[in-house]
Amino acid sequence: MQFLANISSLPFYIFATISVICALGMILNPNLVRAGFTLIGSFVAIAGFYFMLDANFVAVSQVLIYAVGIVLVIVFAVMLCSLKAEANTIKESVFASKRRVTFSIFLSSLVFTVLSFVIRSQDWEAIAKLTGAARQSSLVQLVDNKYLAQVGFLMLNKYLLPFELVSLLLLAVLVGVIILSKKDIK
Amino acid sequence: MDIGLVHYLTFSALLFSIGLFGLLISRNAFRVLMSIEIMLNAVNIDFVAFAHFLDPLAVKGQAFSLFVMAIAAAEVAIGLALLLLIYRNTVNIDMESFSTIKW
Repeated sequence: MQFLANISSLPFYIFATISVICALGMILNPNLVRAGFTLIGSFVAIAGFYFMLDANFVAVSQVLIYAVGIVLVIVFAVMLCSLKAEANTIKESVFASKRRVTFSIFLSSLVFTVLSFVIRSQDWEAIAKLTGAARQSSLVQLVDNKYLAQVGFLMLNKYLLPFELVSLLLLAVLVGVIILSKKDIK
Repeated sequence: MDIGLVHYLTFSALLFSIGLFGLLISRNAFRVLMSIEIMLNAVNIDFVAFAHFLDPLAVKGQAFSLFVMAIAAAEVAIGLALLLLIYRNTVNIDMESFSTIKW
């Protein structure tokens, strides 16, 4: 695939290493608040991937929504539950059951094996030829910041109905969360 | 070796399996939520990589990834509200002890 060749490979491996290490650290860290903050590193590295894929808007919203918004909300909820006293019991329960650990490792590596087998067995160059990606990407090079305009155009034209449905969903979530977290539900 | 679509997809599969591993191994409900976030992010990388490599003129994948982000935010908000409610009632967030919400 000649049209992909302009990306150097070093940042990919750096971001991949950071995000995988941070994700594993999130799973294996017994302290929940630290696990939450480790997750920020993973999300920021994934934002780096989006920058490499010319998805600037997605990268910025990744940092804004995931790395700051969602993680901070989770960490605040953890702090509200004040799990310091329970941290030890949770640490034990993560590693206590040998059978559970082996089952988890087996199933997740099975999923990874199947997925990577499927990915390897596809002929992506033929698919790219089918969608005309090579021809299109030479067109895209001409215009700067094409992607951002295109995403905005898509959101308000082709995907207007899903866009509005998502806003409706967020409104429903807002109301639902307020009702759920009220002290006295009668 | 140049980085192509296959690299991104393989990395995304790896991240998805790590999220699945965390989902299966953790009994703490907060950690389960965080693992789900990791899995959603892995799928988002797939979307953006497909948009970049296979559909560079009309980048539909980026729009999809934004939808996924919005729905992930909604999911986390509802999940955390439910968890805080359960914690307020039972003072426990072990996944195995949620038997009271069985129907």
